[in-house]
Amino acid sequence: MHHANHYYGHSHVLARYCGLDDRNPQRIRGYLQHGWNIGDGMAADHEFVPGVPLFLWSERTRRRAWSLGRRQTYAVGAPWAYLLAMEPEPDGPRPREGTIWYPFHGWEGQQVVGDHDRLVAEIKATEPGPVTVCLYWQEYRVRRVRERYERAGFRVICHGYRGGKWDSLDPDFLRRQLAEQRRHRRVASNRLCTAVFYAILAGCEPAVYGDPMQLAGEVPLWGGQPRIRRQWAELHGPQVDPVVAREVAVAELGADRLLPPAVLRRLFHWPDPPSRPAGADLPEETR
Amino acid sequence: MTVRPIGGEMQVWSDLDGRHGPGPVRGEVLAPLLATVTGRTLVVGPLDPALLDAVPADDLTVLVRGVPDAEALATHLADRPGATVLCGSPEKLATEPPYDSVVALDGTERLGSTEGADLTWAETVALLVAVLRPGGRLLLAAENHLGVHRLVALPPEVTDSDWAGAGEYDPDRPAGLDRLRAGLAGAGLSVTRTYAAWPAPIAPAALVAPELLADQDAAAFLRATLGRACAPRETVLTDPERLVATALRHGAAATLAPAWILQAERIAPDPGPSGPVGGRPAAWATGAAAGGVPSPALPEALVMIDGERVEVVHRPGGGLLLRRPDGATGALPKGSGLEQSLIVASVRRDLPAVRELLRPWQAGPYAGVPADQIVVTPGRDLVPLAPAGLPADAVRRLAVRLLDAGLAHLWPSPADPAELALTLVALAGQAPVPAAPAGGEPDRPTVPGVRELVADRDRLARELAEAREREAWYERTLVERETELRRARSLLAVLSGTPSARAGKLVLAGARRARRTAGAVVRRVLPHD
Repeated sequence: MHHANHYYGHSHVLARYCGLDDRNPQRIRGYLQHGWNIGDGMAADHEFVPGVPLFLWSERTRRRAWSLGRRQTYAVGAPWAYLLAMEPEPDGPRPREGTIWYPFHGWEGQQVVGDHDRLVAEIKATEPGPVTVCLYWQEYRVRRVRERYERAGFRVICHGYRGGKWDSLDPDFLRRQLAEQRRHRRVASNRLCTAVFYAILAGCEPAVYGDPMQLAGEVPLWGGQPRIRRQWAELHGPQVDPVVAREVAVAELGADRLLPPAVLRRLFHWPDPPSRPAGADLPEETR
Repeated sequence: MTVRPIGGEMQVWSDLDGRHGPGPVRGEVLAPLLATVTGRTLVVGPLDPALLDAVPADDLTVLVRGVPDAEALATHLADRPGATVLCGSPEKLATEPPYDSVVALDGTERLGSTEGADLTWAETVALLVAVLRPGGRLLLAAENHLGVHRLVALPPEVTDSDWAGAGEYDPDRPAGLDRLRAGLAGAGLSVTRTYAAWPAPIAPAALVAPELLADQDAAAFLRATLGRACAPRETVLTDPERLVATALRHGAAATLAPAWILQAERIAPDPGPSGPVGGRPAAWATGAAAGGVPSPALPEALVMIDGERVEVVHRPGGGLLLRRPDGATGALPKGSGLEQSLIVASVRRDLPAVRELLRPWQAGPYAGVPADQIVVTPGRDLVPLAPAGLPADAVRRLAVRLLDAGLAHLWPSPADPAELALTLVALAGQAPVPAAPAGGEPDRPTVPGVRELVADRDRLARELAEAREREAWYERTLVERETELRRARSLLAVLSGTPSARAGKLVLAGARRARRTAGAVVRRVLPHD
């Protein structure tokens, strides 16, 4: 129902999980949450058609959305969690090293206001190993921003473009992100955000520290950063208990509530795969 | 055998044929109660003749008010030489010799005749007690006017029976079980056994002792069996099954039971020096002490399961047993009801738990047993309390019951029985195959109540409104896409008309022509076979 369903290749991942064509996923009959937030799970600027369901990542978000008047809300788990279920980390020694660091970014049309030099100094003072800074595509395109981090000796990367309005879609976005995160031992950011939760689920030890910065003209929604720091205090700081962090990430990404493909197809109004019996398309533990 | 009119008989009236009211009291579960009746016995009121066969007493007297009923019973009892059929009003019984047992399983409402006095409840009970010898036993049923069957009933029709009875407005009539017991005590009776009866006073299918209703070990079993017994057969205000389940949870099942059946003994007068005062003994002793017949042990409950009358009895070493008619016994299943557990998990939106409950059910041998008729033991075993049908029907029944319970909002829209059944099947890990109910079965397993119909209407109205909103969105999106398509085509037309596009076309056409010519030359030059 909304082009945001295809951001980051989310619908592609879910189509693959459902045994359907993941190069050209069908329209999801509903709004799929595409990023972690502390409101109803949906982007504030999206228009919603009444009666069209919201497919949210976690039960906590679903409850919050319900309390905010949203109906037909279903906790289905994040596409990221489905991707990890389909592509578990290979057994054997894991050559993880360093930290993948996600500076807080703005989205399309937004600018971040903050002292990047101070942030760089704090990263260097905190991180014990090599640092990879992952920038949002907008910032990555700005040489000045890129070079600021490169000068600090950091490797600078970008996971890619999340996709536009039914064009420039990137089915492999999440896979690239997963491959990159699995190279690192730690994940860090100056704001608790989607990427941090993703990396925790992907096996990184998390840290949230440094100037959280501001968006130009930022209006704190749903309590903003102060609320995030209060509610998820245990995930803040340069050192965080990884066991606690994983529990929180599992809950926030709904990794404990993944649905079987047949149920997901029914929720999305997707067809059954042509030649595979429903309910028999994934290993037992992922259903 | 001939009928003995005692006065007050109704010449053309029948309670047994069901044309003037609900017919006789009936129900297989009543037979064991009648089997305990001993000695000289009087049965008053319309009772299914088949149940009279369960009365073992040789000296049996039956009183009915209609002559056709009396004649029918005389025919039925013709081969019982000790049987007598009386016809007339109960006040005429006073001249009869006392009885060891009096059975009034229809209560007191349908004893009075149009020709006799309008008796209150207390007056009628007093008449029955008066013909009971000290130590004798009375088996009396009383409808509960606050019973579930009345709470869910549509306005009743006035029948030929309602010529003057005060019914629930009878100020003498004890309202509530405690007052009923007190009323019987006031009439000189000592209550020895009490049963609450479902689903209706006229045709009970489950009799349960109040003590068992309070026993948590029996809660899941009772919820299933009483629920099944109360499945509505006519339109009701709301499905009584849920009300019964709620009453059980709240410890109010006995209070809201449709009827009570009490076994009581007439207390023998104390032969003390004070003597009777005002025509009633001043003090009373129990019938057993006065030489009454010992009462045979009655079970804790009598319920119909799969067409069989099953008794719930105490196990000698503790615990509860189910005893079947052939004498076979088995432990009463303890745990929680599958449907109840599914509802709890659903309202908590705990889909993993929902799936954990659905999967073993639909993957196991009881997939065709309705979820409301399965007890999940603490060891996660499933114990069926009903025969298995088709799994698809069992899932569809669950879907209907979830919707009827007002839980449509938990499930994806459209949440009609067919769609929800498919979702449940998918959650159970089975292949969802859309299928119509088999063999022209109705869409829902039970008659809908008004509440359920209203819920259905509201759901459909909501779904219609949502469909309209979606249609408007589709329309807007279609216009938007059409505009984009027009723009793209215009752009294409413009681009295909530019000099560079025309030059490109000429180059392509020339290339095609050159290829064709080269091919022709090659074919001409190369030797042929």
